[in-house]
Amino acid sequence: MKSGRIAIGLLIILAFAIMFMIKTTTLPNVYAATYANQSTTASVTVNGFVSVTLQNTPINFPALDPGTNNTPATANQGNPLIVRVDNATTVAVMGYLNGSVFTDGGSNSFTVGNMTLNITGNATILNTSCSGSNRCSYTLNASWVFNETAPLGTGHKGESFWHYISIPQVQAPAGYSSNVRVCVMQVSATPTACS
Amino acid sequence: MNYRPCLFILTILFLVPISLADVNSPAYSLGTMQPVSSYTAHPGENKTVDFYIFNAYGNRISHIMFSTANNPDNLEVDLPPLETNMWNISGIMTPVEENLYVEPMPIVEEQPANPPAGIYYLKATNITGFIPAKRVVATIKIPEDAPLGKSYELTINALAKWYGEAGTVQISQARPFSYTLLITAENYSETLYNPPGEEGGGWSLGLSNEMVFGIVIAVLVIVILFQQFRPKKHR
Repeated sequence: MKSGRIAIGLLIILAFAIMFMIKTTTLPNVYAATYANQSTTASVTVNGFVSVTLQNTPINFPALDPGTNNTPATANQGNPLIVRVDNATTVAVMGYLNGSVFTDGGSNSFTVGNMTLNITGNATILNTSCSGSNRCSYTLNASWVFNETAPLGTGHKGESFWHYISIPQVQAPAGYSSNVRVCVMQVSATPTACS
Repeated sequence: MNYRPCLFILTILFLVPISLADVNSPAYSLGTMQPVSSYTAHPGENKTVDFYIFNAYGNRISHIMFSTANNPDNLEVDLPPLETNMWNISGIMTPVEENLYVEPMPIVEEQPANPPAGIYYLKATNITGFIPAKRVVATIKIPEDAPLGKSYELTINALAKWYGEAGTVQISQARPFSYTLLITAENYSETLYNPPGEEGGGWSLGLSNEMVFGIVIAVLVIVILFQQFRPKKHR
C-alpha cells in the first residue's frame, strides 16, 4: 500500500512538472510569414535664416531742460528707428528690446525707463502696450515687442520705433548716453535666449 | 504748353538726393543661419557645432562678440578667440575687441569659381542668388561623466556692434543660437531588460517561476510524507 501511495504522489509531482514546462516553453513559429513590414526614417534639416537691419540710428535727442517730458527723438535719428526684418529671413522671429542706464560716464545717471517708445509697422503681432496710442518704457531686462512670421515673400517687413524721453526734475547738466540692444531670435529658440 | 519734360526733370532732381541719402544712410545688418540646433553626443566628446553670419543688407562692418548663456550645466565651450583689432575708422585709429567681423557682402547671382578664403555661399528660399557668409565653429566639451539620456541646453549669443555712431543712444543687435545635446553611448548595444516580476508574463506574485515550482513540489512532498507517517486509527 505504501509503495502505491508513493508512486501516486510521484506521478502527481511529475504531472505538475510537465504542466509547468508546457506553460513556460516558447514554441517556435513554424508557419511562414506571408508579408513583412519594415520601416526606416528619412530626415532633412531646413536651415533657419534670420536677417535684421537697423536704420536711422543712433537715437539722438535735442538738449533738454530738467523736468521736460516726452520729447521726441531727432528726426531720422531714432525718430523713428527702423527695425527691418529682411526678406532672407525664413523662420518666424521674435524681437526684444532693452537698454542700459543713462549715464554721463561719471556719477550722474537716470533710469532708462525715462525713455519710451511707440511702435508702428506691419509685424504680425505687436506688443499692444507699445503700439496704437500706447507707449512703453525701456527696461534693463529684455522686453518682447514684436513677432514676425515667415516666409516674408519678396519684400522686407519693417517696424518703426518712435522714441521719446523725459528728463527728471532734478538732473545734473551733462551729456548722458545709454546702450540699446535689439535682440531678434527664432521663435523656436530657448524662451529666455534674449534675456 | 507741354509740361511733361519739366515734370520729368523735376522728378529726377527730387529722386537723386533721396537715393544719395539712402546710400549714405547707415544700415546696420546682422544676418545669421543656424543649420542644426539638436545634436547627439557621447560622454567625453568634443562636439563641434556651427552657424553662419552674413551682412547682406548693411553698409557698415559688423563687429561681433560671442558669449555663452543659458548654460545651466556650465559646459565648457570653445569659441573663436577674442581679439583686439585696430581699425581706422574715418581717420581715427580705434581698438576694437571682437571675435569676428563681417564686412558688407551683398547677395550674388552666381557662386564665384574661386571664392574668397573663409567665405561660404548660402542659398535661402526667399531670395534669388547666394548669400556670402562667414562660418563660425564652436566646440562644446561634453563631461566624461555625462549621464546617458540627459539633454544639455546651451545658448551661444552673438552681439553685433557698429562704429561711426555718435549719439545719445548706441545700438547693438543680439542673436541667440540655442542648442540641445542629447547624451548617447558611443557604441550601440541592445539587450532585453524587464524589471523583476514581469518576466514570463503570466505569474505576477513577485516570485520567479523556479521558486513557485519549488514551493509546489515541497508542498506535495510534505502531503505525501504526512500521508505515509500519520498515525493509523485503531478500530
